[in-house]
Amino acid sequence: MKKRLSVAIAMALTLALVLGAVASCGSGPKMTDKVTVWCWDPNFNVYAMKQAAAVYNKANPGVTIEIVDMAQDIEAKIISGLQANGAGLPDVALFQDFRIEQFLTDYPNAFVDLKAEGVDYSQFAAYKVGPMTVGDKVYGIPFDTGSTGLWLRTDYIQAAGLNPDAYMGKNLTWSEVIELGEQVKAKTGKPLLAYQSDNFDMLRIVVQSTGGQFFKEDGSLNLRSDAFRKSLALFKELNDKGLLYQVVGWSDWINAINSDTSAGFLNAIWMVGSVKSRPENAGKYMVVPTPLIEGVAGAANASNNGGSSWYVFSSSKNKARAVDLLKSVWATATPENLEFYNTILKDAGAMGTFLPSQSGSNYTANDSFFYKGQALSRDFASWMANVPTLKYTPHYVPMRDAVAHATLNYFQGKIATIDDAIAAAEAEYKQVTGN
Amino acid sequence: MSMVRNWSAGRVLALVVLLAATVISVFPFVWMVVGSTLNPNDVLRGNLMPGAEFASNWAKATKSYNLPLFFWNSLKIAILTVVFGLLVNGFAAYGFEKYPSKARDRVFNVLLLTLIIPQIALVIPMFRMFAFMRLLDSHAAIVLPSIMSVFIIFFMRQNFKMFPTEIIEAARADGAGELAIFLRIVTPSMQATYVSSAIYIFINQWNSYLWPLITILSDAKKTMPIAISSMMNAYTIEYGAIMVIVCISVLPVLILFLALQRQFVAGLLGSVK
Repeated sequence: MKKRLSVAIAMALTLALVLGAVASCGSGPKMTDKVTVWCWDPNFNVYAMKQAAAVYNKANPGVTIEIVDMAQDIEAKIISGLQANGAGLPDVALFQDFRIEQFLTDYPNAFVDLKAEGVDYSQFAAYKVGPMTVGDKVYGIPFDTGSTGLWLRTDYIQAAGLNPDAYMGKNLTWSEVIELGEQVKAKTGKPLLAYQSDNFDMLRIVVQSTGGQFFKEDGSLNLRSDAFRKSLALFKELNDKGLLYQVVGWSDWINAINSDTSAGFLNAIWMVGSVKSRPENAGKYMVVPTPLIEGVAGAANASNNGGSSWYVFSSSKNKARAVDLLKSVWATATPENLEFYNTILKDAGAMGTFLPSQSGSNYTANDSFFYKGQALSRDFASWMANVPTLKYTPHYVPMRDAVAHATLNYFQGKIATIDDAIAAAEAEYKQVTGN
Repeated sequence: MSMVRNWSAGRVLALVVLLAATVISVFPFVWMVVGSTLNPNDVLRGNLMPGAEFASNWAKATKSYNLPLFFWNSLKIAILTVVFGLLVNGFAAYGFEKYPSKARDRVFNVLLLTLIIPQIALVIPMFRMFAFMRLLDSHAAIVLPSIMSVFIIFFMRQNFKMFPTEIIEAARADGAGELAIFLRIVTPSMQATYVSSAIYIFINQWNSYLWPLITILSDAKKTMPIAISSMMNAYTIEYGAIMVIVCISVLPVLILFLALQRQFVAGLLGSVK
């Protein structure tokens, strides 16, 4: 009696669970023409892909394109799927540019070579193609740019007795910028740049503008280059002359640029949203090209921070369709596609890296929120084409952290010289990665 | 006199300590509510005065997200886990406590040992298992692995210890079946234990993040914690909108706890009616 009852209960429970499970996945594999895309921001890349899907569906009405808004930790999910031989993975996913090289190295056969599928990469900003290239294979379709500029408060420049127009649109060198910063500081007391001292981004922007690389071809660390030394020396000079308003943490940094603590900052186009979120900023900011470090061959008045690109998984069951979606909308210069790029710039602030799209009306329009109605999108887009390529490599993250720690200690005087700072960064990197 | 003064000094000290504890535990809730009325810049600035942006935060939170659906998903998953969890863990705990056998304690110790395995270490093997069972992107994938809880078995077993075995034996002598004894005699007297277990399971599942994050692959199946993390976007974080969603997601836990507070405390102290 006792045994029979418990067996019956166990069976009933198992049955209930199995039934529930079966019911919930009963809609199993229906063979429709469907492409699933994963990205992570409904107002930005999800919106952009939805617009692309609408354009694609006009020519291909029978195709279902499902765009899933993943949380920030999209990578954890993708790693689980890759470990399980593609189970649960979508057809297309968006990857951050600085992360993709690790995926391409760790899972060499997981992505579709889109160069072999006939994508013309000369139409895209060259710097975007670098991280997605392995040998003669190119894996992604470039999405947004993180084209950078030097954001300056014209009201503080005026308060220092200078004319902002003298700087507008000019390719400045860092020595000119330091001179400007010293005058602004002397008259207004405001440091020139808001600087997040625990963050690597600003140093990275400067190093990338020199055309320097953090790693050599063979993958070993390359911190003893002229470009890196000069960048670090520049930061030390900015620091010692009191031109950096230092804060810790991203939130405090955003807060700093929106509370009149400094006369500007160095960062990418996507800061436009944060700057505009504060109405008092209207008419005050102008953006000039990323300043140049003198005496480094290959240095440019342009750099980049952030950005991501689309990739097709080899495990996709609808690979041809997924490739076609990316190729025929994102990488082909038809009038409809150019209008699509023009739309996502206006509605989502997403500036693509497809060079033919720059002629769109929203690229050239003046923006009345900025000083003298600067055509901000036009300027960032024109700088984008000159951004030197940076290879992030699979070990980018440990290098980033090691350099950030060494730089902070160098600023605080715990490390005396540039050579010691580089040695400290190398030592920490070696400790973490073992090579 | 001096006794009274001592007593009041102690009382004042106790009040100060309690007040500090209250402030520390209530402050996050105050900030959460205030934050939902501010724009992101003011949240970052640490502004503590209510603002006027609740409507725009609400619009941001609901424009791109189907919040009622996510709420319902979370609720469904939590309730199913509670129901199956109480059933399974209740049986297990009762079995461990009231059916002596040689292997019993050895098995129980092995179960307790599994508590030291961190969840993150199990994520990829579990993901492969559920991929194999074709259960990815289903709520069953979230409910199933959370039903059995060693902690709940342990907690319930401790409370079953207080239930007199003599009553069970008497019922047996009267000819009651084992299942009837458990359901009609034991369970009703362990109400407080069940309530506190239910609250514990509910809160745990309501807040669970990592595993749902990995297994849920489509928008329609998302839960509240995942919706909150979705608000941290590509280049901006909408703190105001996040606070709105957090306010909503705290509600069920708050209601549940306030409604069952008495039983919850009684259950933790261990009580047999």
